[in-house]
Amino acid sequence: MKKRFRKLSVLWLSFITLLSIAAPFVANEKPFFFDSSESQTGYTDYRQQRLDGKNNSGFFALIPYSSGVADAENSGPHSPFEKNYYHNSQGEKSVIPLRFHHWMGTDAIGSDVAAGVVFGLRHSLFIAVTAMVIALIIALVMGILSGYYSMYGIRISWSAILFFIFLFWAIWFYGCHIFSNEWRMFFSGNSSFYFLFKILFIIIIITSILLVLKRISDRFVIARKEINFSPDRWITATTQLFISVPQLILIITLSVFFQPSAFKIAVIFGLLMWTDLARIIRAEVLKMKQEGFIESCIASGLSTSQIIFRHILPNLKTVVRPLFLFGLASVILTESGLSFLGLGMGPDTVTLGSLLAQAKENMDAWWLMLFPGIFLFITILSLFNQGKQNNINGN
Amino acid sequence: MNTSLTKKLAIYLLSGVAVILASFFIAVQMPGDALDNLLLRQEKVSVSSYDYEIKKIEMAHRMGIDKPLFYFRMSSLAETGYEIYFATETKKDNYSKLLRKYGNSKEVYLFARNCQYTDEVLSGLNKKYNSSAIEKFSGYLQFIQKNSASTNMDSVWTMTENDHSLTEFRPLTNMLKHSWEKLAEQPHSYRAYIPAISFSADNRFNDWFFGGPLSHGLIHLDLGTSFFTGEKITSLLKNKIAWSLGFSLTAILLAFSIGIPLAAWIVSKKNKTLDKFIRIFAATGYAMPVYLAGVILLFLFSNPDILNIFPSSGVKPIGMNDNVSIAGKLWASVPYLILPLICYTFSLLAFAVSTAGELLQNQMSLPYIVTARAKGLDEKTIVYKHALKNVLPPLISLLANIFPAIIGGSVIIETLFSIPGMGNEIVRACLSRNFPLLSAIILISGFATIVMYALVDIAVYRLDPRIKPSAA
Repeated sequence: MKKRFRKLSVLWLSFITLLSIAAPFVANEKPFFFDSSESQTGYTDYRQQRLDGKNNSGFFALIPYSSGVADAENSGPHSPFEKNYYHNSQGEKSVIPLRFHHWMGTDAIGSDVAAGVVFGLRHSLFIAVTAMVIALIIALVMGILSGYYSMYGIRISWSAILFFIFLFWAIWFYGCHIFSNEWRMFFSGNSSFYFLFKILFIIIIITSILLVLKRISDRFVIARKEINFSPDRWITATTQLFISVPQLILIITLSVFFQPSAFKIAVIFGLLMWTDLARIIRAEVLKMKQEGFIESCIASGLSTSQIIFRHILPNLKTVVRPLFLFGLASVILTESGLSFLGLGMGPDTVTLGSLLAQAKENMDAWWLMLFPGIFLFITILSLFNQGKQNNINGN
Repeated sequence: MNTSLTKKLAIYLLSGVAVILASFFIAVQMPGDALDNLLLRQEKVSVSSYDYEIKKIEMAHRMGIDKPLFYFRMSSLAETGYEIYFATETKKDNYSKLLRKYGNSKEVYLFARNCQYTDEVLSGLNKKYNSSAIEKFSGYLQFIQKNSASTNMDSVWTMTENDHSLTEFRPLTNMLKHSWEKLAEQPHSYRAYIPAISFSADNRFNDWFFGGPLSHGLIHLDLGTSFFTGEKITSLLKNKIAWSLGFSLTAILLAFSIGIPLAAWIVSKKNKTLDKFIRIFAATGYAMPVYLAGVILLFLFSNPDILNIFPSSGVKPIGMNDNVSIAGKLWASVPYLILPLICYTFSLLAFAVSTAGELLQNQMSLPYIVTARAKGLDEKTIVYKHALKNVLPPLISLLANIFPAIIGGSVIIETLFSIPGMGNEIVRACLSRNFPLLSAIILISGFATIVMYALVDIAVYRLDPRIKPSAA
């Protein structure tokens, strides 16, 4: 029973991954192949040609609509069982011969729900995977740093601290603050990248000046004095700061300040999701240090990077995998919630959340609620199942 | 109080400061047309009037928007903070480009200001005469404004002087030329690359925190006014907080008072089918987001086609008499609150049952339970009297961990069922870019979370003094 569930969830996850990768080929209103020699009208009325049964030279996708494009003849929510109309080549309105033309019905403006679901899954998975990869990278760096250096910290001299503070300040001042206009122009795409060389030149000069100053200050005893810098304390304090504001409210606020696109939302999620991951990775690294094999690594003369990359990282795999899967599920849930509120990607982008929001507006249209709901539910359930299985295996 | 607890409370204090700073930086944001909106509403100035831009600058000065942001301002030697006086993005851009090239901030400001003044005069004239000469001259002016940092301006001056159709504008061109010559006389381009720290006690943070032209300050519990309606935010949010708090607390109480005894009952029964059932229930509660559950509930119970038992949105009947007593008001809004409460309690209940069950299961193999069994106690007494007491502290700290999620969940539920609470308000503030309101909500919810965490830490310490609150 359990095993069958597990197999089913793996199957479902690979199915939706394939579906979302191949989304433009699954749901598209343009034909893949079109013999233009047989028709004078070109691409615009490919659908008529297909339905009329003559000049059937195009090869169409399984769902012959793309998401968010209104079907003018069938405006308003249509059930999958209802008759659909189209304009035939004589310019008359006639009934579509296929029984299920809109596989999952249409929404309020007449765009296809099946196409919306496919593309919604694509957006959701893209955002979830990107966000979790970003979060995982940050969490690994933070967690390993704070776990590995938890006991003894990093010994660092005052001159080095001052050097790094001034260096970061210089990078901010000369790299971002002074050239803020150029950066803005650069990101909006109408500027040359000549100023990047300017920045590089300035920062190299500043760095060398700071290095010389550090050398000089190292002659004094006060500057050479070392203090114990514990990254653990700083990182735990940072995590504390991140959880002090409710995550959804933070995400909603940040999505107001940026023009939300899929990638930007993914970055926002990634920058907020790393705290839990980092805490658990830190605990795991601490546990590993107690097991003694790290101490034997140190004793046998391995360098810190060798210990971290060869010994700690592979051992973290079992802890990270379920957390990654749970994280995927929670990003998908939160992102759908965001677009359910109308604050996610712009109004033109169809997502699972926006389809559900439409279901709330049109209470008669059960198909608007059922299909996106089922897709969302099964996806989360199988991610949850996989995460739990991995968790059990890992422990 | 042990030291690790005080340390942790100190971290909470630090995060409180961070929340204050974050909400300040949100409060000072402005949508591009906010000043225009205010001007149109308060001063009754029409956009097309000749001194519109000047009125706008005066208004910004009166509201204290042109002050520096914080006590310390780190900038280059050339920057002075005059950017606020330039209305459009291109003018600001041109100003900062000029600053970079010439570095003498005062002269650059005068030149850019003269350009803007000329622009205003021209747009005033344009409405009256609308001749081709004016259009030609404004074309020149636009060229000057756009390219003054990159091209050689001498050719432009000779061109305007030789053009006979522009003789009427000689005073204006002379003014521009004169200020340009002053600007180009002594360029200090190095000044743009030298950092400088300036200090000013009169700044926007000071105004926001201790009181200024916009509000009485956070220290007097005044969070400013809403952009669009001009209402006081504190009085606006008072009712909303009451609704939100009452609603979520009811749901939490319901969920935990049902969930914990249920979990204890299931553990004491040791029934496999029950176990499986509860696992499925927990998985469903996890995978069913509140918005999906809410939409399904609305579809089933608030739908004229299926069952029309409960109203779909709002909290009270439309046009209800205000003279009714509080109990009467509450009674009237009961049918409105049933669906959202079911929806909310369901998601919390799944969480409560699964975690409480898991924690109890972990306890059941510990030595003290074995001792109790050896003593001959029945399973019911063991679970209810012994195990449940030991599970309480971790359950309470788990409650703190889900508290932010509870606020997040209530955002969606309140929006879905249109309950006039904080969650509904934050969505509306976001959609209408009402930044003072948004910052107030972030401040309040952030502080609520921090206080909750701190209270739970203290409570856990009181319940079980052996537990040392770890730093994380």
